[in-house]
Amino acid sequence: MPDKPKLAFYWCAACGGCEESVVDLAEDILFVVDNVDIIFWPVGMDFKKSDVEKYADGEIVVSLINGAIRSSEQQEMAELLRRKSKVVIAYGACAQYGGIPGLANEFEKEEILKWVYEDSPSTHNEDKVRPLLKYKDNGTEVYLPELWNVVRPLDRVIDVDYYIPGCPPSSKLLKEAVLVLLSGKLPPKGTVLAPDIALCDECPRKDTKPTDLAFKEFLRPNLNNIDPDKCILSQGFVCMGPATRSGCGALCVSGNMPCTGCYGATSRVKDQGAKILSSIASNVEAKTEKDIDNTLKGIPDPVGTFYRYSLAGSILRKKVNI
Amino acid sequence: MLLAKETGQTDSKQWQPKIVAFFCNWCTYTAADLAGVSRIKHAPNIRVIRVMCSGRVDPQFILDAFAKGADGVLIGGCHPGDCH
Ligand code: SF4
Ligand code: SF4
Ligand code: SF4
Repeated sequence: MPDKPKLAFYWCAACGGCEESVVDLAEDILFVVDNVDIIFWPVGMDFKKSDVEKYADGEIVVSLINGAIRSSEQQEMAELLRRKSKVVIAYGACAQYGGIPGLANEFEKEEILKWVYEDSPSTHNEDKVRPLLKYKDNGTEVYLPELWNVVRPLDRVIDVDYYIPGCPPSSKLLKEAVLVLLSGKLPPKGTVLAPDIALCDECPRKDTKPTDLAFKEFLRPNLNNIDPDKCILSQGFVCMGPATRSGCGALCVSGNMPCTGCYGATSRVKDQGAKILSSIASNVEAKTEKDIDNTLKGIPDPVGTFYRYSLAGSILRKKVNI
Repeated sequence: MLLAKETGQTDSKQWQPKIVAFFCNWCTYTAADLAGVSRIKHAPNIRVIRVMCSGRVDPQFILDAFAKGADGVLIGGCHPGDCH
């Protein structure tokens, strides 16, 4: 019997949620392991980097990599898996766009390290100890990976064949992707393995979305109640639905929370944040600069709102000069 | 146009910003055209892109212009309330 196709999972700058979505396959994971050989999965199985190194180039059929790239170790592992794999899939918002870790691109590396190792309220570090890249003790030298200045999506570091969007992707998308790959009918390179329409299209509230919106003020879900039957955007909460790809089944809206945009943009949109900014800004009712400023006070963190998942992969990418 | 006057830089050897200008068909583009016909001198460092209305200018165009190397972006439309 021929060997089953080899599959690898790996995580980079990630939260573990993408790994959780693999576990969420529940009994479908049995279908996956029946059909493929999982040869590398640091979260779930005990394999080492050296196990990957011993495969021939291209011998792994698919590597699913989640998380953004922000350290030398992540880059090294991504490059290794690229070499050993026929197909590499960027799995989840962090790998596709930089995701939540990508918001670190608003800060310089030194600001981040100082906050984490010195200033944050939960830190007690009187000697201001920082991790060293190299440390020698008793003749043994140990190393730590280096943190890069900017967070990058996977495709800025290695060649990526397909993308599975979401923070995390739904297990349904993962299962469909595995089926497509097993069928051997590969879609064109660069395809995002999810429907190419806006989330509003599959939103249960789409019939209550008016064609003309006129925002008088913006509300925040932590401070105001959301009417469970009406389009959330029309109530004045920022809902990223119009600028976000569908595929999750409008999960957040079904839980009475606005969409924050984790599935990224459709193929026709180049910059998700700019897109939603454009549609929201042009629907603000106020006409004078002062009134417009007042209305926009309801969005205190525009970058974190409009670019929550996509900053590192957007045209903006990062704060200037970092 | 203003820029050349403000900085007094006309020497072509000096650094000149590349400015991408989105002009609406009705007011700004017509005005720029008229300026040309009337032989009023323009600074040459502006690249005009005609759009049917300044409302058509998506923020993505502006970001794209900067990402592709523009030093500035100028958007010209009609006077507020005078839109065609
Ligand atoms: S995409 Fe979301 S769930 Fe996946 S690693 Fe990133 S933050 Fe976690
Ligand atoms: S804006 Fe949000 S709530 Fe409204 S229809 Fe779109 S996804 Fe649904
Ligand atoms: S509703 Fe939006 S934020 Fe929520 S899972 Fe779907 S795409 Fe992601």
